Amino acid sequence: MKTYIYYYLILSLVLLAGCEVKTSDFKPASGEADFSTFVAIGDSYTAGYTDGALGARGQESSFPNIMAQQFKGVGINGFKQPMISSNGSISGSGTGYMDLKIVNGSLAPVPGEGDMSILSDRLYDSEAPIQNLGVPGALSFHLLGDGYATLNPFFARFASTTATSVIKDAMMMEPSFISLWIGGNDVLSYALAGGEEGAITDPTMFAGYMNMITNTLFAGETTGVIANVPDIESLPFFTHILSDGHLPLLIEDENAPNGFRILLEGEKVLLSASSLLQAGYGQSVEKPLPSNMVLDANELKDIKDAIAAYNTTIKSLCSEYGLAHVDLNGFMAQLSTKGLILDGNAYSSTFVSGGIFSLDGVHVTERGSAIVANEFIKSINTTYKANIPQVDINQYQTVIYP
Amino acid sequence: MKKSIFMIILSVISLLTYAEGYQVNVQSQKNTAMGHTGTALLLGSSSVHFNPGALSLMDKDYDFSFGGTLVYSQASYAKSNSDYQATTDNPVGTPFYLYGAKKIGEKSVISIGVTTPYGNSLAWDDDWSGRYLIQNISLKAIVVQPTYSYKISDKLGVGLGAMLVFGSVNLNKALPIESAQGEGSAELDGSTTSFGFNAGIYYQASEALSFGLNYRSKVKMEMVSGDASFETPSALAAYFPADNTFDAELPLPANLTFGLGYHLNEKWTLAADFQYVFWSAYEELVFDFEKNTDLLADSYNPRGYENTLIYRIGAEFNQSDKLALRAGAYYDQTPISDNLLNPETPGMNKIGLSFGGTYMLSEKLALDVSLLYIKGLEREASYSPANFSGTYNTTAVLPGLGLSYTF
Repeated sequence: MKTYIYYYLILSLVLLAGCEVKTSDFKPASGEADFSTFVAIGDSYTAGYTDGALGARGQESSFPNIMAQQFKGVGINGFKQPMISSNGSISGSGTGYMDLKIVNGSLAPVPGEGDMSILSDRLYDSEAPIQNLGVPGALSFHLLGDGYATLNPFFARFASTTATSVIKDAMMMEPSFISLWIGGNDVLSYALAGGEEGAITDPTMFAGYMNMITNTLFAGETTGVIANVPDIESLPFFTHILSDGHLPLLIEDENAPNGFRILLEGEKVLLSASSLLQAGYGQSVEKPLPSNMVLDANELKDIKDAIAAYNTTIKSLCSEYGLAHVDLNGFMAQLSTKGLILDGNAYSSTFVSGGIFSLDGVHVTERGSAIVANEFIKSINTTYKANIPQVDINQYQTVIYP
Repeated sequence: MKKSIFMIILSVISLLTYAEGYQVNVQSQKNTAMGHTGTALLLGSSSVHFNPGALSLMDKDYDFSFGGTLVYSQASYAKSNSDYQATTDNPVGTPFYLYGAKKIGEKSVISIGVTTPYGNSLAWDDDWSGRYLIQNISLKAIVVQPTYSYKISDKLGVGLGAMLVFGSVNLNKALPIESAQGEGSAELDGSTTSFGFNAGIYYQASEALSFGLNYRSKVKMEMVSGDASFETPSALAAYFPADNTFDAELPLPANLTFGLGYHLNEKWTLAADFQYVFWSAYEELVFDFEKNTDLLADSYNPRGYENTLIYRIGAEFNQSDKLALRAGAYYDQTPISDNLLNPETPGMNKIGLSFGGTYMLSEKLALDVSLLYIKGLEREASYSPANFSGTYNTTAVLPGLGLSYTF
């Protein structure tokens, strides 16, 4: 009997040791692309702008940085970003990250103090050049412009010289793989000003710039991915105010008989009008809402037509150079119409609670950035027959409530 | 900030298991060691659970047995198209049983069983990728079953027991609303008492061959006014009223088992059972909150379980008057379809291998041991209502110990 008990105990121990559960392993593959030297080119989205400013938190979870982490199994040789070393952040207008706070009894994003010293960084190191060339504020043609660092302090932080261009700095690194997402600001600089400032880049000119850019970047063996431009109607910055039901509103219009009129169906009021609306603007003839807070039907049509034309250009360039194409316009349109359910949570383009858009209503949250990175990875996998693992989006934070 | 956040916040329950779904079949070391067969065998007072009909043919005047099992189970998850992996850190499960049977006159046996035939305890890490679906869950159901068995003839016995089920459930999940202190969370805690029955027929067709048929009814666990507590960012606290409660209903499915027993000779006994589990009773899980708000809607979670069949075989070898050795195996189908696999019950087809034995410590007292190893067959599936998919694996090792006392 003793021996039986002995055998029984031994066997139990062996089985317990063998109880460690098996886990299915992912097998990464680079397919037909070469990820060794990855360079990301673009604007504030590529830089990691979130909650209305650029700071280390957003940089850590910029979509190129997340992609670079996912490229680790397919031969990437590091990915250097122009990291902000302070705890601060800075926007183009000098403010810092927005925080969600309770203002007059309701939740509102409040910009923090900007850290201007960030813009005095000079981070270029010829031994280890910056690979995330996302420059907040950049339009398509800015990427080609020599001396852009003298115009844009965000580029000056890491440009090789004051005379260089973004594309020239990219080419110096001899990239094997490039992500390019540009064109948003070609309409946004106009749209964010209510159509009263800036200009929409002419679609023909945009096509010309994009041809020059892609011809330089992808002339050789370089592989890559280009994303298209989301329609502004998918962004909470342009949809939130009227979703709360502010009609009817009085707005300035120099062509109207008395210089003001009632807001028409289909027109958009910018998120930046929030404080004016709180102060009573738009509710009386004495204080109509300024026209730079409104996009009228003509302005919206011009923006929509331009984006459609840009996206046609981007699509055909991807075909021409055999590049992966990310339809972020389609993705964000789906988000703003039907919404998306991903890994146990529902997302929409609803301001603050939607989960993907940050407190500025234009840029993504960290989780949104991970979701965007996965859209890039899916497209790369398809185009290059690669097997790059998607990232677990639930590791990244969304909007922080007080 | 409307319903979107919470559209699916409370998609819940069901459970990892030692059998599929949330059944636990380790209700006797003797039966466990033989692949949970025994509907057509009289293996002692555990027939209270396996077939009350068989108990009527008990030859001793008294038969008591009790025992317990340690469940070491683990589940793993690998996200689809991703290198993300997670493994559970489940607490050790402790199903137990207690049976007593007494012969009354020539034809009747009265008995009682206390068993834990349903349960689940599953714990993923609190910050794991599926935390909006489930962080951890503990489901317990203790069945108290007074039973009456009647011998119609020397070959035919019937039995009927009433099942009183004391059930409780506790589950935790994360909410996708975040403050500087971290994400919000929800805890649901409820308990209930419900009823069912257990009926069986046993037929000794010849000296060697026996048949058994057992039906354990469905038990509706209706939880009324369970505690629903939420931790959320303070700015949203008004949407999650304190002292909220929920109603929910979880069915424990009916089982119909047909068994065959065959006494090959003095030494060998063989058994086969076919157990049909009426899992289709579990169509959905609804949490009906007493207080609803813009952010806290009632939660509807499709489950869509399908009926399954479990195939079991077992053998007993009487080595001597003192020692019996047993072994068995079974194949257990999953009731969960490929698009409704929720990580709170990572179900998959499973193979169970078991062995054990009984040693007579004295003429009346016997030591029963069993060891069961369960291997889940790797499965890629998704819970499509939450768009959560991955490849799951499970294993479990269940050593068990028990005592029988007969006279």
